[in-house]
Amino acid sequence: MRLHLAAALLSALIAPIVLAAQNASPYVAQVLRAEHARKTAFEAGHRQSLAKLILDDYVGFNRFGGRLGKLGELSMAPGAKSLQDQEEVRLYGNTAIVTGRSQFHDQTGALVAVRFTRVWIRTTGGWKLAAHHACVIAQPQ
Amino acid sequence: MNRTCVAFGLVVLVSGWACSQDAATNSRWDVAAVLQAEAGRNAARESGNKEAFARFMLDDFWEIDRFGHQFGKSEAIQVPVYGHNELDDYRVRVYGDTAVVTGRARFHDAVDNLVTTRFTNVWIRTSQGWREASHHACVESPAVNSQPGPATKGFR
Repeated sequence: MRLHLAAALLSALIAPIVLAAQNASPYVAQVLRAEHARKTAFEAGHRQSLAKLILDDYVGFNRFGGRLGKLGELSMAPGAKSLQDQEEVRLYGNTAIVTGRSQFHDQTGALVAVRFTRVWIRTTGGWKLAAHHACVIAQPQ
Repeated sequence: MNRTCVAFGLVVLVSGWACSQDAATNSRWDVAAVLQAEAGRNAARESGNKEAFARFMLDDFWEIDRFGHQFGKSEAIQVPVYGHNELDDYRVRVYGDTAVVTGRARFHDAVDNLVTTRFTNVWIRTSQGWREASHHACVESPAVNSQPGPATKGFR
């Protein structure tokens, strides 16, 4: 009986670790799907969909260094249509850090390229955005 | 009965630990440990102690500097430092074994211009303590504080 109890507890303890390691690839796919959903909602101005993807205590910095909370982020939508590439996802347990490049035309029509970092947290309701940081990619002199 | 209760308690504890985060927990202990790691990292960097500086970073650390250049740990420890960084507006949010730190840094660059940046650092809890996984900085435009809103609406 004691042995069974110990085995059950050990399984419960190890299971999440083993699952996390085995699910590494599905998690990357999930995060990329969340990235795509965020981009689509942001550009289309679907604030309700966007709100579901963002944690309440979200903090973001735009390329001007302006800080935005969740409400500020929602008020930015709809955003400019952008081309996103060079995405890399790194997983640390229930956290994913995504870096990449985004290119879009600003209000004056000029092409702007920014490098971004986004931090996603795996919650009971799926992956949610906790942080965003962007900066303009300087042109080589 | 007692053993059953203890077993049940342990399972609940383990389940809670395994369960994902819905919001930042921000325990005082964690926040203090993360801030201590930030302070240690900054001190090592500013004193030019590259070995100590490197110990605060994960091996797959990535930095994106204020020019949008992305590089790894080996390059990050070679970046020259010009004097002391004035840091303020620190905010720490802890999600399980991850901490997101945001803040503002003011420093003089290579040609002595005063530069103000905003940064986002991501720290991961490891068996050796908190280690930095990512650093991203951008220049804070003076216009951000005086003309927020419509001028930048829709354009990140």
